[in-house]
Amino acid sequence: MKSVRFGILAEDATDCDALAILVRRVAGEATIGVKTQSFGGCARLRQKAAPTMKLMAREGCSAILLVHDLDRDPENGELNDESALRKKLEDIESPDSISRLVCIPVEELEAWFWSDPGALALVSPGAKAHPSPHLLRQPKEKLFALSRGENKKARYSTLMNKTLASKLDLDLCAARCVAFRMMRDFIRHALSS
Amino acid sequence: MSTTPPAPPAAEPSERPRFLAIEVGDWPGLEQPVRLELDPRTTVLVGKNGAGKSLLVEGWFLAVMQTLGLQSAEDGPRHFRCDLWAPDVAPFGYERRIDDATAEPLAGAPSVDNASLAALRTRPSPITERAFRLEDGSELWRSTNLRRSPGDSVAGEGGGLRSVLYHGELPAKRLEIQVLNVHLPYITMIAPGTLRRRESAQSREARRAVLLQWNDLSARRPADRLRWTAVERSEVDELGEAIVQLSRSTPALFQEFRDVLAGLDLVQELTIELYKKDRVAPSAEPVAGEIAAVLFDGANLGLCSDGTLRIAKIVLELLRPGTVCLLIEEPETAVHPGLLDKLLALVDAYSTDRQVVLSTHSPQVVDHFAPDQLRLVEREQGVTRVHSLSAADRDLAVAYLRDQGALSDFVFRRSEG
Repeated sequence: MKSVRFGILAEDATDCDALAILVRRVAGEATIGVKTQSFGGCARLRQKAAPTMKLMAREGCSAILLVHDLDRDPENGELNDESALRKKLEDIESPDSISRLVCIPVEELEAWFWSDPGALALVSPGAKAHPSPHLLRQPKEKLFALSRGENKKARYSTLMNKTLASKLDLDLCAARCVAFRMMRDFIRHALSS
Repeated sequence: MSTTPPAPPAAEPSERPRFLAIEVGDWPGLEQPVRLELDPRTTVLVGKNGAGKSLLVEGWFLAVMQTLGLQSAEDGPRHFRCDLWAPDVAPFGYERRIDDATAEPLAGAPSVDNASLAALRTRPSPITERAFRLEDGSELWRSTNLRRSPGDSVAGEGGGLRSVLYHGELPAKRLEIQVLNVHLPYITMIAPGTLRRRESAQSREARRAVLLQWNDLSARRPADRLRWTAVERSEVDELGEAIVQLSRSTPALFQEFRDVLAGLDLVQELTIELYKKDRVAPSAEPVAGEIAAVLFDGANLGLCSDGTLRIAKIVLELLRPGTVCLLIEEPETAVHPGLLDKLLALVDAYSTDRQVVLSTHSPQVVDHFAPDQLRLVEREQGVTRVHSLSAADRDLAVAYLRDQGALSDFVFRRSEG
């Protein structure tokens, strides 16, 4: 297996933390190099992606994940056009020396956790997973709701994503979430080629 | 076999009792009433320096303190109104107005001298409180009292909302009054700046350990006065007190507090150590004469950084189950951008059960929320006005976001005119 340093660009810090864990788990090496950068929103991610990828390449990253949520149109509630978004992101300039994947979780990365009953059990014991997480609307809000019991508190916050990522059934998630499957295949390919 | 997720067990944020709007006025800086419409979860106030964000938030908080009898009438707005929504009752409002006793000259006082000024100050001023339906303005309850002296709290003479709440007078049976009862006393404000900077210049010079003393006052006071109190008094000491009380009174919540601080990568190990006199003497239950210290990763709370203390304070208030509305001024103060992201994620999570109002100058905070949650605070010709993005502005913002712009760029550019 090749030694690869991965770079992750994502919208916020909790996404970065969870993605770093997932990359390491897919790679099978807890000590694999991962550099992350969050941007506090999708707009800044798009604006700063090019210089950040250049910087990461200089810092030794050879495989970069650019992770951007597929948001809903605030006017009609429909999911935005994924292919248009993908093209926009793939058009962002990046160094020739790196391989890059544009990863677009449907609505939010939290949808991935809905694929696995084991991960969901950390939020609420006995919670049932969803066979098609990409069909869930507002998966993060649904995790908030799931964790609120009789005491009316929201124990789930995205700070827990690290924990959920460390327990997520990778095979099940890959079977149910296309974006995760693409990311897994990209990581494996980067390590083998 | 997997199925669809179960229905959420708790009330949706839009279904729980909440503030719809507040109004503050007749106060230096906010002479005209300023109305703030609130989001069911998080409302973000944005505006230039001097626009009136802090005045509005502080005015709201002081007005509530006045109503509860915890603040004198001189130290807050003379007009306050809040509109509330709750299940099973029609939306209603509560209003409190202190009429100006000094508006008319005293009879027989030919000129303003010290004696007549003193007389003016001690003249009773009427305080009117009422609750009413929003739909038709019909009154549910009204009370008028006289404030006897400047030091009196707003509800000092009985009969006002405070008496109704605390002494169980007849109107307390009204559902609307009960909603007020679980709302007004449970508003918390986190002021701008760091905890340590708000202390006196003398105590600011050096960080010092926070120590708490177990006070056995049961002989002459109610049993519930048994508690840990800080050896010295400052906001940092009070934070220490609150943490120790939490550990004693609600261990599950204390564990949640620890988990959240660890999840923020802020404090991995939160411990409370007990000391007796000059030697360490750990014990399960506190006894008189014991001293407690709160340690964040082995360091005394009082020696931690300003940012750490501020985040710990915000997290503590976010977690408190009784808090119905948390007002946070400038959450970005002393917080690293990466950590701010995580703090805002916590606000998202806990605002399902309480309303949060943030005032900010931070693009990062603005970008975290949706256009509908923003309230623009503007001041023109000495008058503060608060409004949401207009429908046209919202359309512009949505289009701008679609064109790869950031919400903060849109909002701050707009405020530049």
